[in-house]
Amino acid sequence: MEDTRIIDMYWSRNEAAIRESSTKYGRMLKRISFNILSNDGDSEECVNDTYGKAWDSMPPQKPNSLAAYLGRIARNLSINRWHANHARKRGCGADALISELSDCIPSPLSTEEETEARALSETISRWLNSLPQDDRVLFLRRYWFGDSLNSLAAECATTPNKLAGRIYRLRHKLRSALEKEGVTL
Amino acid sequence: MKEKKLFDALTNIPDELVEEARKTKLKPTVRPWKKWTALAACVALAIVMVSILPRGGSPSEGALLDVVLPKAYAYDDFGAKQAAIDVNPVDDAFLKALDEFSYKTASQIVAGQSGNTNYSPLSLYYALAMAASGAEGETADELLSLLGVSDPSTLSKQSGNLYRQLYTDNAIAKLKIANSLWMNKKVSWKNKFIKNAAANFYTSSFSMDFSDKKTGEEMAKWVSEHTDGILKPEIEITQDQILSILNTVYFYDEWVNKFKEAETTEDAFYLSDGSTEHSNFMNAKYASADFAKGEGFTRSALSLKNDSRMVFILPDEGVSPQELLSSPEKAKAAFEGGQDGHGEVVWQIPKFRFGTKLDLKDALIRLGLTSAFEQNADFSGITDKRASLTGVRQETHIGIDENGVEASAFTEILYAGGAAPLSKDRAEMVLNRPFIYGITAPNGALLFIGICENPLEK
Repeated sequence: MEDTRIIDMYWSRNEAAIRESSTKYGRMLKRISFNILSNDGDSEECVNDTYGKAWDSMPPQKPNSLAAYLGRIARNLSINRWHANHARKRGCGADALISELSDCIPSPLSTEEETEARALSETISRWLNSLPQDDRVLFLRRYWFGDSLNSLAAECATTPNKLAGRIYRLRHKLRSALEKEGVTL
Repeated sequence: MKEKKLFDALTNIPDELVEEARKTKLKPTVRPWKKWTALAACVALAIVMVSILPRGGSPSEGALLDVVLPKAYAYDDFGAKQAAIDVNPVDDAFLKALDEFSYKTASQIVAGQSGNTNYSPLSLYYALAMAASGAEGETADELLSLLGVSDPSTLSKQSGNLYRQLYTDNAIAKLKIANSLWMNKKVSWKNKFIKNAAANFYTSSFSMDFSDKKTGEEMAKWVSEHTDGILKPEIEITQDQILSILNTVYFYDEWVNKFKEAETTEDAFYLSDGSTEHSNFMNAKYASADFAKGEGFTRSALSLKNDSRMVFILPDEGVSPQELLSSPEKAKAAFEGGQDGHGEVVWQIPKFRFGTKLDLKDALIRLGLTSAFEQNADFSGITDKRASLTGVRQETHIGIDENGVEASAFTEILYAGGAAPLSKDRAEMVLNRPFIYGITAPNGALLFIGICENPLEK
C-alpha cells in the first residue's frame, strides 16, 4: 500500500493503519531496533511502541517518507531503552543516577539546544551528500539502520575486515568534516 | 552524552537520505568468491650450530627465558586488529626486502626440487634474522645482505613489529610463528642476544644437555606442540652441538567462500612425466574476479577470511613450474607481474596435502652465505666460543580442501556472492597440471611458496 494511503488512514483514525504499517515496515523496524538492543523481546516492544507513537503523532504530522518517520521513532525508542537497560545493568552507580536525573531534563529541548541539534544534523547531511553514493549508503546502513558488518560485507561481497577498514575511514572523514565546520559536541 | 548527540543528529537527517540507504544495494567491492574452504600449512625450521666444547659445564638446565606472546584478537574485533597494525609499523622497505628474499630463496630452493615442494620464506627469514642479531664481521655482512636490511637493530625491530602484526589466533584463523633457541648447557651465552631474541623474535630459550637423547625428543615435542601436532619431526642431536634454532610457522585459515563439497569431482591430473593421475578437484566459478596473464602463466587468487590470500599460478601448457621460478626476476613476475584482467574465472583446484623436508644449507651457500658455515664464522654476539652453522633444515606441511582439516567447530559466517559479470574477459584456472601456489599475509608477506607436482603425493 502507498505511504500516502497509510498516512491518510492514521489521519482518519482508522486502526488498520497500524496493521498496514506493520506489514510494510515491520521487518525494517524490527531490524533497526534489534540492531540497537540485541534483544528480541525488547526490540519487539519498541516496534509496538513505535506504532503507538505514530498513532499519537499523526495527525498533526504528515511525513513525506513513512519509512524514515517510523524508523526515526524506532531508533529513538530503542536508544532510550538501551540507555535505560545499560544503567540498570550497571546497578546503582552514576549511570543509574544520571538516568534517573534525566527525567528532570525539560523536554522538549530548549530552543538553543534545538538549534544546535538541527545544525549538527545539517552538517552531517551536507557531509553525507558530498560522499559517493555507495559510501553514503554504507555509512547509513551501518549507523542509521545499524546493520552488522557481517551482513553488509555479505551484501558487497567482501570480508568484514576489509569493510571495517572502509567504515573506519568514513568515520574519520566525518570527524574531519565536523572539525572543519567548527562543530563542538 | 556526546555520542547521544551524534546519534540523535544522525536520526534526524533528511528523509531522502534514509530512503536512499533503505532502497540502494551496496556495490560489490571485491570479487565475489562463491565457495569457502579451509587450508592449513605449517613449517618447522632448524638451524644447528656446533663448536668444540670444553669438559664440565654450567649446572643450569631447562628453560632459561620464556616469552609472552602478543595479544591475539577475536576475528571480529576489527578495531583492536587495526590498532595492532598501527602501533607496530612495518616499513615498506622492510616488506620489500622480505619480498626480494622470498623470490631469491625460492628460485634457489623451490625451483631446484623435484616433486611436491612447500617452502616458507618467512620462516627462514625469521631464523636467519635471529642468527644475524648475534653475528659480527663478515658473517653478519653476508646475513644482512641476504636479508636485505643494512642495520641489525632495524632488522630486529622490524621483525618484532611484523611478528606482532601477523600474529593471529582466533576462532577462524591462526598464524603463529614460534621460535626457540636450544643451547648447550656447557656454553655460556650472551644475555643481550637472548633478551633481543625474546623481545623481537618471541623466542623461548632452553639450556640443554646435548649428550642426552631426551634433548632431541624435547625439541621434537616443542615443534609438534607449535604446529598443532601436524609436524612430528625426528631431531637428531650430537654432543658437539652448541645451538639449535627451531622455528615453526603454523597457518590455518578458511576460504571466504566455501567450496561446495557436492561439486567436487574426480578428474585427470596430468603429471609432468606425461602420465595421468585421478584426483579430486574442487570446482567454483566466479562471475567477476581479478586475474593476471603473464609470459607463460595465468594467475589468480582466492581470499581467506583473515585477509590472507592464496595465490595460484598456472603455467601455460609446455611450461614447467620450475621454469617460472628459475630466477628471482621470473619468480617475482609470476607472483606480481603480467597483464591484469577482470572477468569470469573458472576454478578447478585439486585437493592436496603433503609435507616437505628441505635441507637449505647448500642453497644458502649458493646465495652467498658462506662464512656462517665455515670454521671462522663470527657469532660472537651469541657466545664467545667459536661457533658456526652446520645445518639449516625446514620441514613443512600444507593441505587444502573444501571445509578445512580441523575446521568448523565455530559459528559460520555467511557471505553472499554473485555480482553481475562486469566484462567478457575470462580466465580458466583449471589446475590439472603441475602449478605454483603461494600464501600471502594481509600485508603481502609471503608465508609459503610451493609447487604441486602431484596432488596425490603425500
